[in-house]
Formats: sequence, C-alpha cells, structure tokens
Amino acid sequence: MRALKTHGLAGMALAIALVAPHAVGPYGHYILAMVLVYALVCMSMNVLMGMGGQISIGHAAFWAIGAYTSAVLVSKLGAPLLVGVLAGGVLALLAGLLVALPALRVQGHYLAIATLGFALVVHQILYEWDAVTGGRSGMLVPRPDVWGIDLSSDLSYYHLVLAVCVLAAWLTHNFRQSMDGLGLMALRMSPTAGQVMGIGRARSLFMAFGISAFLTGLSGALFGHLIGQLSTDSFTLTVSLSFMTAAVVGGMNSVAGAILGGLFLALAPELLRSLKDAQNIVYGLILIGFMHFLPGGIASLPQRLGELWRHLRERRASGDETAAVPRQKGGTA
Amino acid sequence: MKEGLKIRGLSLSFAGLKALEDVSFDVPPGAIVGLIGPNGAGKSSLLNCLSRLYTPNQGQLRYQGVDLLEQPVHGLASLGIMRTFQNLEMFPEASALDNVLTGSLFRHRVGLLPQLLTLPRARRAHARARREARAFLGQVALEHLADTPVGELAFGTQKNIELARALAGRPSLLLLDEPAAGMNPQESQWLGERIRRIRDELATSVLLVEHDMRLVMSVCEHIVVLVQGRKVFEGTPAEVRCHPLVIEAYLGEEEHAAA
Repeated sequence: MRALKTHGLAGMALAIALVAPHAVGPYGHYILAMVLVYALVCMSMNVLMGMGGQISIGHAAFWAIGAYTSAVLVSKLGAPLLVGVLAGGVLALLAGLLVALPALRVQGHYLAIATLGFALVVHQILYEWDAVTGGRSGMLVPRPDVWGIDLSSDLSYYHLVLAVCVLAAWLTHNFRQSMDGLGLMALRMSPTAGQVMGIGRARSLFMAFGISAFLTGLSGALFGHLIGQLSTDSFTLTVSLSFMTAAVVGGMNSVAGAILGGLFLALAPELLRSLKDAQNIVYGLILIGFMHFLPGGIASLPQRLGELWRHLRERRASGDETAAVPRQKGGTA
Repeated sequence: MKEGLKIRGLSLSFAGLKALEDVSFDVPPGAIVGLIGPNGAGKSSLLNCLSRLYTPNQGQLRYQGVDLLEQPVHGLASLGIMRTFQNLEMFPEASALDNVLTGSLFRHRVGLLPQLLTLPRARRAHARARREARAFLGQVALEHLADTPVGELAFGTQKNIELARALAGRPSLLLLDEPAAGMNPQESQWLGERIRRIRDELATSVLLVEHDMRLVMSVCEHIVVLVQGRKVFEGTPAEVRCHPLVIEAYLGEEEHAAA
C-alpha cells in the first residue's frame, strides 16, 4: 500500500520533470537544472541531518570538492564528463569520511563548528591553489558531449542531471528503507539504546557522512558544468547555510522533501534578488519559522493539514465528551 | 558448560560519591538472579556498568570468559548480552516493528552496497529480520500495533515492546531493569511466567532488578541484596526473606511504606 503510494508519487514527479521543460524557455531550463542540482544537495542533507541527526554547516566544501574535481579532470585532463562527475562524488566521499572523524568524538554545536572549520580550510586551499583552480580569477568549465550526445543546450543537460537525480533518489530511498538506515535513525533517536542494541556509532556515522558527501559532490560537479565557470565565491559559508535552510524548508524525511528543498533553493534567489544583502536575514527567518511551526518541512504539510482536519472534526463530533484518550507518559522513576 | 557472568570487586563512584563498593557475584548460565535493594542502592548503576554505559573505577566483569571492560557498548549485543531500561529507551518515531527489528540488526549484517542497490541478498536478510521481529512482537501479543510509532503508545505497552526488542537479539544473558514498574499484580504475575518461559525455552540467563518483591521471590532462584552500593547478602529467596539485615534494610522499609 505504502510502496504503491511511493511509486505513484515517484512516477508523477518524473512525469512532471519530463514535461516541465516544455512549458518554459531557455532560462527556465537553466533554472530547472538548478532545481535538480539543489535537490541532490537536499537529499544529501536528508541522509546526514534528517536520518543521522548530524549538523553540518560545511557542506559547501563537499560541493566545492565535487565541482573542482570534475572541472579540472574534464578541462585540464580531457576526462569524459561522467568520469569527472563520478570522480567529484568519490573525492567528496573521501572528504566526508575525514569529517566523520570529529563526529565520532563531538556532537551538536561542536560538530557544526568542526564542519565549518573544514569548509573554511577547503575554501582557502581552492583560493590559493592558483595553478589548478585559477584562484581569484576562477576557471572555465566545459561541458563536453556524453556518448556523442551534445549537451551544450541547458535543455539536454537538464536531462542528464535528471537521470543522476533519479538514480540518487532511488539510492537514498533505499538507504532510508534499509537495515543500516534504520540503525542510523535509531542512533539519532536514542544513542544509548542504539548502541546497546549492537549498532556501532562509527560505522553508522561513516556511512551517513560518506553517502551525504558523495551526493553533495555529485551535485557540485553537475553544478560546475551547468554554470560553466567556477570561482570560490560559489562555496562560502552562506551557501552552506542555505543548504541547511533548504533541507529544512523542503522536509528532511523524504525524497519529495528534497525536491521541494531544491525548488526553494533555486527559486528563492530569483524572488529575493531585490533584497540584496538583506536576503540572509530572510533565509534566517524562514529557517527559524519552519523549525518552529513546521519542522517536517513543506513535504509534511498535507499530513499536518490532515491531522488538523481530523482534530477539528473529532472535536466537533465529540462535543463536551473527552475528545481523545489522554496519552500516558512517563511512569514511576 | 560455558561460564556465565562473573562480577568481581566492582566499585564505581561519581565525583567521590560511592555508587558501588566492592560488589561480587555470579549469574550462572541459565539462572534467574534477582538484584534487590532500596532506591539508590546502585542496582541500575550496576546494570549500566554491565552494559558498558558506565566504566567502573575498579573490579572485573567477565562474561563467558570475555573481559567486558575491553568491549565497546555496541560489542555486547554480539556477546549475547541484551537489556531493558528502567525508564524506557525506545526509538519513539519508529514503528513498534522497527523498534523490535533494531534489536536484531546486528544478527542480520549485510554490506552497505547490496542494501543501497536492494540486491536479493539484502532484501532476503531484511525480510527475514522483519519476519522474526513480527514473531517477537507476537510473543508479547502486540502484533496489531506493528506499524504504530512507539512514542504514541502507553508506558506499559512500550515496556513490552522493549522486552521484545531485547529478545530479538537472541540474548544468552538478559538484563531487566524494573520490568514490572507500573504494572498491576496480574500483569506482573504474567511477566513472571514470561521470564521463566524465556529462561526455559531460550536457555537465557536473567539478571532481574525489581522492586516488586512478589515477582522477585517467585521467579528468582538466587537473590543478591544491595544496600548503599554494597552487597549485604545473597542467597535463595527463602534465605533472603528471613535474613534480619535484609528485613531491616529493605523489606522493613517496604512494609513501612505500605503501612
């Protein structure tokens, strides 16, 4: 039943994704590709934050590693595009395993600061490493053919991003349904009980950081080939924070939430552009508002409205009688 | 015959406050051992040392010849040690079935890649684990709640699911921390029968921390009495019942409280 619903939703989303480009012009194709690039990032945040409960404010670093790896491999060494993208994901994955190391020792704010530190270091290295990354002036990123298919138009490139996105959505969905995914979520809900049940924190965290960094790396690589040029300005702290915001706004418990997060991240700058620097304030307010009023993100809206509706109906139906059996909580200490 | 649990000279203190002092006793294979004592006697602290949540200042913990103090917390499940908690440690947003399944994850290890690609190997293992978990849930007559998030269930129901979760790990040593808390006499009698059945059918030894004296006396073959972190006595239920120190330190207090 639930599987059927999931398949139905996935099919519908795919149909929309295939039809949507025909409703918009060339700039629309670019925006749509950006939506999917960001949806990939949100999927990665779903694994790390949603399932694992680990906070990272350094994901721009994995994004940058993916972007520069692919850009350098393709432009300087003539590697095929897909090889570059995959290598971007893999190198980000290795970096993710590295960042998992502090996560084994510290949690919460301390981990957040450790990820931030990592992002600053990566940013600085990319900035200083002139010979490879172009440093201050940045570098151009080509978009070569894949298997003879010309990707120079944003429309055709959009389809490549869509294919990667579908694959990534399938993988993250599988991970959420898997036994190791359950173990990771169990550790988030109760680290004590999780470990007592035999779930190792190290293994789970390496998986969460690895998968998350891999997806973000893929996204970064696809991003580089989409916009055609890279500079370190694309990988700042603000970007890391916007990733977190988008993941929360979309919803961290499903692929649907990740896609909504991608939509938010791609469209919000278009809508908020006139606000200039005040944009960050708006992002912050949105983040706080969602965490407070709708922690499940936009994806949880139908369920929340359903609950509200049932609640109102029950209230009206029962009148003065006790509406619901009070929940029993706690017990003897 | 394999060795059971051996506790030797266990001492634990928090910031100078002694929670346990030189405690020694055994839980032989297949035995049901009760651990009683007034509040603050150190019973839960002892269980927490056994599950490696606390590290004792002194002493030895060995199970089947393995030094428990050299094991990480998550290593105990595969040694056969599972437990429940005094105030519940559940995964509230997960379904009852997933909660129970969690207890058996370590027995159904599959590589990450087969799981991500949903290869037959991974699917089979997951289906098997699910089937087992459903059966364990059925043993506490809660199969109908399999899909309900545990956080929405009553305390007593969660206690039963927690027990099912511990059993899903097929433990050879089960640590129960006040499993009868919040239960009425009828429920606690049922629990007592169930603990006996677990031991008889699964050959699991049980270390039972409990305040319900009727349950402890009826189900345990051997009882250890802790008072203020020290073992003051151990023996059969009959011996414990008559021992003046125990009556004064523990049973007397109970009667006093009941009056």
